[in-house]
Amino acid sequence: MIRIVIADDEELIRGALVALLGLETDLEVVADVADGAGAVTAARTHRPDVVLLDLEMPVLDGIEAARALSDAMPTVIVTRHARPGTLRRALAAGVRGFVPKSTPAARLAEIIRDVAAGERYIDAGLAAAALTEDESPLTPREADVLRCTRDGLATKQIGRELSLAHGTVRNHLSSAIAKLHVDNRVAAAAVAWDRGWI
Amino acid sequence: MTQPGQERPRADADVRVVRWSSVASLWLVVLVGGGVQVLIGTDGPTTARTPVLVVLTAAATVAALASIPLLLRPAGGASARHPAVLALLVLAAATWVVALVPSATGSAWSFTLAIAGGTVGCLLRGWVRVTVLAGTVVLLVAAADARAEPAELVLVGTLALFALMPLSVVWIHRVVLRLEAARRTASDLAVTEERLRFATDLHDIQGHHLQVIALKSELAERLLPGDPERARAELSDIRMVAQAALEDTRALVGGYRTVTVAVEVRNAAAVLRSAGIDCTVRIETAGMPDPVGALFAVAIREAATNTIRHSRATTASIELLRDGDAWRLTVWNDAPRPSERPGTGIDGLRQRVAPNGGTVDADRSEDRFTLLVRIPVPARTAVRP
Repeated sequence: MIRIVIADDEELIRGALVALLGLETDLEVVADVADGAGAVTAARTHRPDVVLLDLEMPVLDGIEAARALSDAMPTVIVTRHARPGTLRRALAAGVRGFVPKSTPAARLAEIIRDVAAGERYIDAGLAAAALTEDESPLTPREADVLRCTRDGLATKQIGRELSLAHGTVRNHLSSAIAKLHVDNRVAAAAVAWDRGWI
Repeated sequence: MTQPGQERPRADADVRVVRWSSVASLWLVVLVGGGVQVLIGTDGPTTARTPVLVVLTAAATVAALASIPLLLRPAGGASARHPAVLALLVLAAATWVVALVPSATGSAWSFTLAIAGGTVGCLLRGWVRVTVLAGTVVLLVAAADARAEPAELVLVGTLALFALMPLSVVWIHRVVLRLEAARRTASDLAVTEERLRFATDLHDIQGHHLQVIALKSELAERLLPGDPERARAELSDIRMVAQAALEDTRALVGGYRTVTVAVEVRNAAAVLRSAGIDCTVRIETAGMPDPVGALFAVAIREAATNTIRHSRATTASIELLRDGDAWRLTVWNDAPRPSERPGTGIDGLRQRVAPNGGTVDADRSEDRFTLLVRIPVPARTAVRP
C-alpha cells in the first residue's frame, strides 16, 4: 500500500483528488492539507511514501515545502502552468515528479506508483516549456545582487552579504538594470525573478 | 525584448528635449533681436533719449525671455494677460513710441516690438491672432523711413521674420505634442485590442466547452436512475471535454516560443544539472540553417526529457558538432531504464529527420543510453566556406 499526503489550497480539487486516488486499491491518502506548512507537518507526522504538493499554496509554496521534505521522502509537484525557471527550481529542491493539474487521476496514480518505486517523472509539455525559455543575460554576480535585492537588502547590506565593495555592488546593479531595460533595481529584480533568471 | 512600459520614459524625455530646444532657440532669437536693436540704434549721433531707449530695450528683452517658456508650456500656452507678456508688450510699445515720436529714427528700435507682437500672437487664437500679427507687421512697415533705401527694406523684412518666428516654433512644438498624444492613444488602443482578442479567444474556447459540460451533466443526471451505463458514458465524455478545455487554455496562454538550438542545448544542460545530473556540453552550430536547428532542437528536447523522466542518470553529455558533410548530435547518459514502450519518441524523431536525409540511432547498452542524430549539411550551405 502506497501512503500519500496531499496538499492543495483549492478545496474542490483536493477533495476530488483525495476521492479519486482513494479509489485506487494500492493507494491510501493518509492526510490532506491546505498549505505548504501543513504539508510539512503532516508529512513528518504520517511518514507517507509520496507527498503530492500544489505549486502555488499559501504560507509555504510547493517548492519550499518540497525542499523541506525531499531528503526524507519523494515529493511530486502538481501545477496549473509553470512559470519560467520553476522546473529548474523544483528539480534543485529534489522534487521527483512534476505534473500538470490537467493530468487525469488514473494517470496521476501511475506516476505516484513510479515515483514511490524510485523513478522520476517530468511531464513532457512542462519540460518542453522549460527548454524553450529565454536565456538569462545576467552574469552570476549580477544574479546574486538581484537575488539580494529581491530579499529586500540595501546596497550596503548586499555588499556585506556577498563580500563586495559598495561601488562594485552598484556597478553590478546598474549593468543589470541596463540589460533588463528597466528603471530601477527593484524592477530589475522583479523582471529577473519573473523570467526565472534568479 | 521591448515592453510598452519602457517606451514611455524615453518618449517623455524626447518631448522634453523638443520643448527646451524650442525655448532655447527662441531665447536666442530674443537676445539677438535685443542686441541688434541696441547696436543699430546706437550707431549714430547719441541724443538725450538714447540711454532711455537702451534701458527700455534691456527691460523688454528680459520680459521677452521670461515670456518664452510660457508659450511652450506642455499643457498649452499661458494667458495673453500674463504679467510677463503684458510687461513685454508695454515696454516694447514704449521703446517704439519713444524712438518714433519726436523725430523718427527709422526701424532700428522696432525689434522688441516685432518680438512682442510675435509672442502675443502665439497666445491668441483665430482671427485675433491674425489681426495682431498683421497689425505688428503694419506698424513695423509704418515705422520705416518714408524714403526707404534698399538696406532699410531688408531691415523691415528681418523685423517681419522676428514677428513670425515665435509662432512657427510654437506651432511645431504643439504638433509634436499632438503626435505624441496620438501615438500614446494608438499604443493604448493596441493593448486594449490585444486584451479583447484574448478575451474573445478565451470565451470561444471555454464558453463552448462549458456549455457542452453543462448539457452533458444534465443528461447524465437524468440518465443515472434508469440507464446507469449511458450515464457513465456521458460522464466519461464530460471528463474528456474538460480535459480538452484545459489543454486548449494552456495552448492559448503558453504558446511555446522558439529559441535557437544553442539556447535549447544550454537550457537542457541547466535543467539536467538542477536534477543533480552532471552534464557536459559541446556545441558548434555556426552556419547551421534554422530548419536543421529546429530538427536538432526537437531531438534535444526528446533526449533531455527522457533523461530526466526515465533514468536515474548521474552523468550525461550533449554534443552537437559539424562532422564532415553532416551535423551530428550525440546525447548519452549513464543509466538507461528498461523502457516499457521502446522508442515511440525516437520513431517520431526518425520520421521527422528522414526528409532531410538524416538518421537516428539509439543504442541501449548495459550502462549507457546513446542517441545519435545525423543530418547532412544541405548542398547549398556545403558549398559556402
